[in-house]
Amino acid sequence: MVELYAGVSKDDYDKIKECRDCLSDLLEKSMGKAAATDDQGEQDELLHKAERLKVEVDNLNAIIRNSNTKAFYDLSVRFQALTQETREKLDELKRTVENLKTVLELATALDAALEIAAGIASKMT
Amino acid sequence: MVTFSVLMLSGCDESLISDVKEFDKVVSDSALSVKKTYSGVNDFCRQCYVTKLRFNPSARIKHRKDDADNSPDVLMFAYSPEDIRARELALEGLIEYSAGLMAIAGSDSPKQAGELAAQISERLGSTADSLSRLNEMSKSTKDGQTTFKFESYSKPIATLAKLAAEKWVGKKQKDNLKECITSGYADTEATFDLLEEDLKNLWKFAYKQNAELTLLAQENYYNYRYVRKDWKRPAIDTPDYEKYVAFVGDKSRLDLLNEIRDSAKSFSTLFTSSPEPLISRMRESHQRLKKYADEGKIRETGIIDPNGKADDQDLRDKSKGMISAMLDSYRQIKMSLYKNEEVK
Repeated sequence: MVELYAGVSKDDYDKIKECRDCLSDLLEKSMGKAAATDDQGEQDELLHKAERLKVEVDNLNAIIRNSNTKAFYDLSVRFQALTQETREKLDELKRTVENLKTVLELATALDAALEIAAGIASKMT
Repeated sequence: MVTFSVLMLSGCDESLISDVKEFDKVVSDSALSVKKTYSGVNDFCRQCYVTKLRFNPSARIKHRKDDADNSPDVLMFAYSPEDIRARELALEGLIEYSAGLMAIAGSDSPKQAGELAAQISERLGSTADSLSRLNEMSKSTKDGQTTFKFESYSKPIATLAKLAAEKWVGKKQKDNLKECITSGYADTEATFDLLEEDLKNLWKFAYKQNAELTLLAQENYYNYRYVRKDWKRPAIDTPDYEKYVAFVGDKSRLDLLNEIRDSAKSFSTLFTSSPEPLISRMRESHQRLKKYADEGKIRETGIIDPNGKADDQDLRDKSKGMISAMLDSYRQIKMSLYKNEEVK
């Protein structure tokens, strides 16, 4: 099975996620206040704060994203192997049918030979 | 007495094939939509960035990200091509795997095998007739009767062989499908887990929050540029009234309002929709395959179950009928042989 937390331990991954979500909540609150306020000065300040928080959120999110990138690559390799397995199983079914075709050819040849033999024998009796 | 041991099938096999077909369809549709969400993120981030740049004279254009700053406010590659490609490869792998399962489920090998088995059986019946004729020519009978015709056997045998071969290869088809489902089950579920979280992050941080900050930047500029808090509407026919009319019709103000309206309209869909249901659909469809993986291989049992239980009633009824007909033929042939012996 593919490792999901490549490059980062699960504990660190969870802590980074928690930190990111906390900063993201603060960001959402700042944006909400900025949208609601009537005061231009306050809006300028809140927007500026929101932009700074966004930078921190994105930095932490990048670590999580990079960790997932390796896991996605590993999964894509795994799917290649699984798809190959399905192709082999399909070929197995097709070979079964091909084998039956061979048996039919042999049976047809045998039948033709015996038909000829019976014809010859009937003329002799 | 001729006896057969034929593979019986559990009742869920047609549903296995239809569930695999449904899984393939859901994955093909959903995975492509998810791919577009990933591949569209850089264009979206660029659009937001350039819009924000308009209202911030102190901001220099940033071409690419650096290690210290992973903000998507850059012209090129807010999300790195490697990040996007890894996700696209996993999605493409999932699509190919489900197509592989579909190829096995949709294979007509059981039907082909059945038809070939019937033809072989008939051919062998004809061969047996030739052998019988040859055999008869080597001995004499008083009434010159041909004692045995294999035709009375070959047709029912051919029908039974067709059914048996179809079901045998059908069993192989379903076993192969179950093996592939079992092999891939854990990693497919892991892919859905990863996609669900990754997509949730992408939607929230790259799309929604970016969109909201962009819209706020537009609103903030409008408020700064055009809003006067203590403004009161002037009386008509005063000089200030003319200024007011000019303000209402001011083109740059109208353009900005239109821009804000368009941004709000396009961004609002980000808040009312999300790609996560696409993952849920694929997962639900995949969950329906799990029970087949859990079941293991299809059971084998004989036609005539001494306990009288029938698993494949159709095959059982047809087989009984055919065996009965063959036994009648056999009895007639035996009677005829007995008569010939008495004559001798």
